[in-house]
Amino acid sequence: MKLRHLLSIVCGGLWLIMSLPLQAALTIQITEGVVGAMPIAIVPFDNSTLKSPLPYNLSDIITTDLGRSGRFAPMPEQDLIARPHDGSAVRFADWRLLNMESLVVGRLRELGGARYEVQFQLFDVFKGEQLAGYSIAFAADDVRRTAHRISDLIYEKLTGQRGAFSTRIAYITAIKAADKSREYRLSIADADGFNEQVILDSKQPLMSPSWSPDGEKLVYVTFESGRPEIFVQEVFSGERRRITDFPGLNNAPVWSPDGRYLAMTLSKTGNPEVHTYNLQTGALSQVTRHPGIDTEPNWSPDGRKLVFTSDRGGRPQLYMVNMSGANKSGQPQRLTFEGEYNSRGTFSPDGQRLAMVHGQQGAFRIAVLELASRNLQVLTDSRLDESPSFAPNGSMIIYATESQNRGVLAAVSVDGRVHQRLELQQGDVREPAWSPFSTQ
Amino acid sequence: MKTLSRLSIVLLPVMLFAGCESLGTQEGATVEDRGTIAEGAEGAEGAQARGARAGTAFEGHPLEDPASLLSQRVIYFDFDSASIRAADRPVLQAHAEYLAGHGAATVSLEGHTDERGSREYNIALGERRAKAVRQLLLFQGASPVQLETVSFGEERPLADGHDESAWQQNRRVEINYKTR
Amino acid sequence: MFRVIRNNLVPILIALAVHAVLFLMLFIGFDWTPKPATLQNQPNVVKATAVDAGKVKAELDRLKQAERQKQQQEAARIDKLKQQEREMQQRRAAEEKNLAELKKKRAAEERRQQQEQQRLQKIKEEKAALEQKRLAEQKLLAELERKRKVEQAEAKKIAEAKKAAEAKKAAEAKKAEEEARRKAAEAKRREDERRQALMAQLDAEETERAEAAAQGEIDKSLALIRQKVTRHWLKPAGVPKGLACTVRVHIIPGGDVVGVTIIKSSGNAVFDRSVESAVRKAAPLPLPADPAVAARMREIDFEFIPEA
Repeated sequence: MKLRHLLSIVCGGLWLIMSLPLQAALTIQITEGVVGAMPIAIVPFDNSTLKSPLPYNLSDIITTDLGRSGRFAPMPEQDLIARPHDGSAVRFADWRLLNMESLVVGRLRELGGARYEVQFQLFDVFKGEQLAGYSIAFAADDVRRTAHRISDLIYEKLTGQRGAFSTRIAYITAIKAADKSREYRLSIADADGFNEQVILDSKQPLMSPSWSPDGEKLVYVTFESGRPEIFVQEVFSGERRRITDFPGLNNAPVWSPDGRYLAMTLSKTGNPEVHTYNLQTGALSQVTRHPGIDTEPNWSPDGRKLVFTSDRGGRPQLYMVNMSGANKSGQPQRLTFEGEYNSRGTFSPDGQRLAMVHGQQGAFRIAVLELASRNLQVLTDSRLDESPSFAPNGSMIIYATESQNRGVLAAVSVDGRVHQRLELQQGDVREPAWSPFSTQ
Repeated sequence: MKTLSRLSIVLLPVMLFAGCESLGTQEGATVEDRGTIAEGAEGAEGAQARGARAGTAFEGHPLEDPASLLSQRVIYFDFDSASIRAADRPVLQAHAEYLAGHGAATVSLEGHTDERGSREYNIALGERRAKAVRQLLLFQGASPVQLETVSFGEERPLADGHDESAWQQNRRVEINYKTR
Repeated sequence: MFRVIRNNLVPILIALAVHAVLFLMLFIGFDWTPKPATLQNQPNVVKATAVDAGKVKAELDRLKQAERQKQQQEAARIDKLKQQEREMQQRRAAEEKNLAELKKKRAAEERRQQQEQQRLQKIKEEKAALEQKRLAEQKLLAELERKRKVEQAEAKKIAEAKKAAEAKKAAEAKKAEEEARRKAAEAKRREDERRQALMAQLDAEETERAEAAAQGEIDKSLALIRQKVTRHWLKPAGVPKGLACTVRVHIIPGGDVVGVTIIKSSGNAVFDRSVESAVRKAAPLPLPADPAVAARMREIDFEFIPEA
C-alpha cells in the first residue's frame, strides 16, 4: 500500500514535468563559428547639393580603408541594391537578404568658404538599429583625413578596437640616378600611402627611422658625413640635432616608451653593443657586453624589457633582457630557437607578441612570436621581407619586401589572413615605421 | 672579461688564419662555380710571381699596376660570415706590405653585405668584415693609424639584383686608398 | 567647655597668675613679718663688780638712763610692730576681698559657661529631634511608595494574566479551526493525487509514445539549428579570449526570429553583437513539421562558448 502510494506520486511528478510547457528549456551550445571579414555596405554619400565635387570621394576612401584592414568585406559599389542617404530610407529586410551585417549611409553639405559637412549613420542591419551617427565639418583639403576619421569611428564601433587609419608611416626611399649615384629620402605619408612628404634627403644612406612616442619626432641614422651618425628631427619643423657620432657604429636607434631614452647600437668599445642614451643628460648605459654582434634593440611597451638581435649563439637570434629604466637588470635570455636567422624583433603594442625577420632555408619572412606560448607563426611567404612595424592598434604589421626588382611596402594582419601592398611611387622603398596614434 | 677581449684581439688574426686554411681546402670544390671568386682563388699561387713582374715591367705607381695584387681592392665573403677566404690572403698581404712600406698611405676599409636579413644586423656584419680585414692588415705590418673602417651594410650594393650572383658581389670589403 | 577656656584664655591666665602671686605673697609675708627680737629682749649680762659709789651712782644713773632709753625704744618698736600688724591685717583683708571678688567673678564665669553649654546642648537636642522627625517622615514616605508599587504590580499581573488567558483561548480556537481546514485540504489533495496518478497510469503508454516521437523531432531540429547558427557566426577577431554569451531567442511558426535577448552578456559589445547577428542571420531556423511539436520550440537559449 505504502509503496504503491509512493509510486503513484513519482509517476505523477514525472508526468507533470514532461507536460510542462518547454519554457526556454531548450539550450543550444555554439562552440564554433567562421573566421572572416564582416560584410558591410557603404553607400556613396549624397553630394548632389555640392556646387563642385570634392577632390576625393569620401565613401571610396572609407571602403578602401575598411577593406585594407582585412576585418571587413565591403560590398562592391556596383552591387549595392539601394542607395539610401539616411536611416528613414533604409529597408533593412533588403540588406538582410544580402547578409550585410552593417550599413553606412550619409550625405555631404556645403558650409561655404570651402568648408563642408558630412553626416553619416552606421546601422546594425539585422537588428535594424543605428549604432552610430556623426556630423563632421571639414575643409576641402582635409577630405582624406576626414574619411580616415570616419573609417576609424566605424572600425572602433564594429571591432571594439581603435582604428589606425588616421596614423602615418615613415620610410626610406633610395632612388638610383642615371649616373648610378643614389639619392636617399626619409619620407612620411598617411597610413594608406597618400600625402607623401619628404622630410630629409641625402646622397648618403639614411636608415632606421623610429618615431618618438608622441609622434612628433623621428630618430634615424644618416651617413651624410661618410660615417653613421644618429639624428633626431622634428617632423613638423624639420629642425634636427645630432645625438651621437662615436667612432664605429651609431645605429639602430629606437625611442623608449616613456620618451626619455634612446636605445641604440654603438661599437665604440670595439664591438657592436646595445646602449641606452638619456636624451636629457646624454648619459650612456651599456646594456650588452659580448664579443658577438648585439644590435636592433626594441623596448617592450611597458619599458621593462629590451629585445635585441645577437649572434652570440653562432647565428643571429633574438634575446631579451630586463630593464630598470635605462639600465639592464639581469642577464639576456634567448627567445627564438626556430629557424636559422631571427632578427629585428619588435614588440606589439600590447606587449604580448614580437614580430621579427625570420630566416629559414634561405627565405626571410615576417613571423610573430607569441610570448606567453612561445608559438611562432610565419605571416608572409616571400623571400626578402624585413623591417616589420606594428600598427599602433596592433591589428596589422607593415614591412618591406621586394617585388619585381623593387623594394616595396606591404602589410599583413597579425593573424596572417590579410595581405596588402602599399603602392608608393618610385624607387626602392624600405624600413617602414608605423607612427603612434596621432596626438593632433 | 677585459683580459678575454684583449686575448681575443691578439688571437683573432691567428684564428682567422686557421679559419682561412680550413675554408680554403673545404671550399676548393665549389670555387669553380663562383665566377669572380674562382679568379681570386687562382691568383693564390701566381701572386708572388706577378708581383715581382710588376716591379720590372710596370712604370707607373704600384697601386695603378693592373697586374699587381694591389689592384685588387675588394675582398669577398660568404653569407653572414666575416672569415677571409684563403684566396684573398695574398691580396691582403700585398696591401699590408705596401702600407708597411709607405707610412703616409692611408686606407678606408668599407664593409658591405648583401640585402638578406635585417639592415641593422647587416651594418654590424659589414663592420665585422671591415675589422677582420683590418686585423689581418695590422698583423701583416700595417699601422693602426693607416687604417679606418666604416660599414655600409646592405645600403650600397655594387650589384642591384636580388639573386646569389648579385649578393656575392655585394658581400665585400672595399679597400679605398685615401692617400698613397 | 574647652572653647570657653580657649576663648577666655587671657583673663583666665591673668586670674591664675594673680592667685598665684597672692598665695605666694601670703606665705612670704609671714616670713617677712619681723619676729619679736628675742635677742633684744634678753637682758644684758652684768658683771657684779665692786665699784666706787660715785662711779656707782654715775653708773647707776647711766644704767637708769639706758634702761629708760631702752624702754622707750621698746615701746616705739612695739608701736611700730603694732602698726605693721595693722597694716598687715588691712592688706590681708584687701587681699581676701580681692580673692572673694575673683571667686565671685569666676563663679559667674562658670555659670555663664554652664548656661552657654546648656544652650548649645539644647540646640543640639532640638536638631537631633528634628533629624529624627525627618527620617521618620522619609521612612513613612518610602513605605507608602513601596506599598503603592506593590499594589500596581499586582494590578498589572492580574490584567496580564487575564489577557494571556484570553489570547490563549483565541489561538486554540484558531488552531483547531486551521487544523480542521488543513486536514480537509490534505484529504482533498490526496484524493486529487490519487486521481491524477490513476489518470497518469491510464495515459502513460500513449503519452510516452507520443513524447518519444516529439522529442526525436525536437532533437533533430536542434541539431540543424546548431549547424545553421554555427555557419552564420562570424567570430570577431581581436576580442579577448574566453568570452561567452547566452541569448534567449524567440521563434515564431515558420522559424523566423522575432526577438533576441541577451540573458548573459560576455561584457564585450562586439562579441555580443556577433552572437545576436549570427542568430538573426541564421533565420529562418529549421523547425519540426508538426506544428504542435514546433510550438514547443518557441524559445531557445543559445550559449556561445567558443572553444580555444
